[in-house]
Amino acid sequence: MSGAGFLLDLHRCVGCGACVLACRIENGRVLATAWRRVLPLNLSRRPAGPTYFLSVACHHCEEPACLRGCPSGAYDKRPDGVVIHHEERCLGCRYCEMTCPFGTPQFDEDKGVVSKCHLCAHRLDAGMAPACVAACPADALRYVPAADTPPADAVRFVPGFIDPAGCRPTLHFTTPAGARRVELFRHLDEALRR
Amino acid sequence: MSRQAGHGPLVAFTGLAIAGAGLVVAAACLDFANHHPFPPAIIAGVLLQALGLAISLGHLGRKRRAALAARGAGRSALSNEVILSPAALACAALAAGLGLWGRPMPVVTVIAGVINGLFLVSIGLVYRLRGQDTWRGASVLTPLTGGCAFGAIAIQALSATDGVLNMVLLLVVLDAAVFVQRWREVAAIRIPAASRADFGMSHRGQLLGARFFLLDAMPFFMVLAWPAPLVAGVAAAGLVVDRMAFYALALQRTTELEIAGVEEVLGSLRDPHES
Repeated sequence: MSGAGFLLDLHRCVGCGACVLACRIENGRVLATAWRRVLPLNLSRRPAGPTYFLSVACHHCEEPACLRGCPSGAYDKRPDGVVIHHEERCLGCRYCEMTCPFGTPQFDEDKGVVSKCHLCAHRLDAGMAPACVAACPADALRYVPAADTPPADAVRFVPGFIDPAGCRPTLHFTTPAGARRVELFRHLDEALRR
Repeated sequence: MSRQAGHGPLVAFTGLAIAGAGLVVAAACLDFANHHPFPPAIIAGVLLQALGLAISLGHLGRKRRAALAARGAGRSALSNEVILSPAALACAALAAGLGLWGRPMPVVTVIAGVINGLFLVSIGLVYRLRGQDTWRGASVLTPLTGGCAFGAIAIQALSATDGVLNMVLLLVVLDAAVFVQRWREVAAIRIPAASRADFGMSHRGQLLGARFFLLDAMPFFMVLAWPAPLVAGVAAAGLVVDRMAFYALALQRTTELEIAGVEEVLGSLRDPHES
C-alpha cells in the first residue's frame, strides 16, 4: 500500500459500532461530530443484494482533496501516509467539507475549527493499533501499515463506496465469501453499472 | 456540503463580490471601448466588494486567523481567490480615487477591470470540485458572465450614455448562453432519490428558471423600454437568486449518498434466484 490505511472485512463486520465508540472515547468526540461512522447497506434485507456494513472514517487518501484545497495549510501528510489536520492552523472556513467527497471533516461549533481522524497517530507512534481497530470484536477492521500490502483478494471499491473525486482512498475491503454471496455481489454491481 | 448549517454568509459574500467586481469590469469595458470613464460605477463596485469582503470574514470559525488563508497560494483555489479579492478591491479603489480626483486614467481602469475579471473567474474555480456534480462545467464561468451582465445593466441605470445599451445586450446574451449551458448540465444529472426531497433539488427547474428570467431574459427586453433603475433592480434580484440557487443545488457525492443510490437500485431488483 502506498500509505497507511484500513482494511475492512465486509464478511466479518456485524455493524456493532464498537469502533465508533472506541474512536469517540480515545479522541474525546461527541456523537454529532464523531470521526468514524457505520453505514449499513441493504438494511431491509432485500434478497437481490448483499447486506453489509461500511465502517468508515478518514481514508487517508493518496491524493487528499482536503490537503489540496485547504487555504491555510492545516493539513499535512506524514511520510507513512497518515493525513493529519492541525487545529492550530485551521480558519474554520469549512472548505474541506466541500472538497472531501467522503464527508470526513467534522466542524466543531465550539472550537470554530474542523477536525478529523488522524489514524490515532499517537498510538501508531507508540507501536499500538488505532483505537477502532483494537476495539473491533470481530476482527473485521484492520490497520495496514504503509510498508505492507493488502491481501490479494482485497478490493478498493464496493457498491456504495466509490471514489468520485479521484482522491485514491487507502481503504480496502475484503468482500463476502461463499459462492451465493459473491454471485449476489456481482449481480448488484452489474445492476449499478447499467 | 449538505451538512453545513447554512449558506447565508456565502450567498451574501459571493453575491456582493460578483456584483461589485462585475460593475468594475463593465465600467472598464465601457472605458476601453468608448473612452468613456464612469467613476460612479467603479465607486459602487468598490463599496459592494468591501462589504462582501467584511461579510466573508464573518463566516470563519476563527476570524483572527483569516490572514492564514493566503498560505495555499498556487495550490488551493480558495487561497487564489483570497489573494485576488483584496487585489481587485485595491485596484478598483485606485481607479475610483483617480476618477474622484478628476484625473481618471484609462490604463488603471482597464487593469482594475482585468484583475476584477480574474477575481470573478477565481470565484468560479473555488467551486469546481470533482465530488460536486452540479458545480462543474459552465458553472465556473457564471460568476464572470453574470457579474458582467449585472454590471452593464447597473451602469445603464446610472448613466444615459450612448453605447452602453449595446454593451448591456451583448453581455446579457453572453451570460444567457453560458447559463443555459449550466442549466442543461444540471438538468442532465441523475438526482439520487435521497436528494430529490431537498428543497433545491425538488425546485431546481424553478430556481434556474427564475435566475435566467431575472438576470437575462427580462432585462434583455426591459432595457429597451423600461426605466433603467427598475431593470437594474430586477437584475439584482436575479443575482441573489443565482447565488441562492447555486448553493441550494450543491450535490456532493458522499458515501451516504452512494449507499442511498444502491438502496434505490436494490429496491428495483428481483432476486436472481427467483424462478
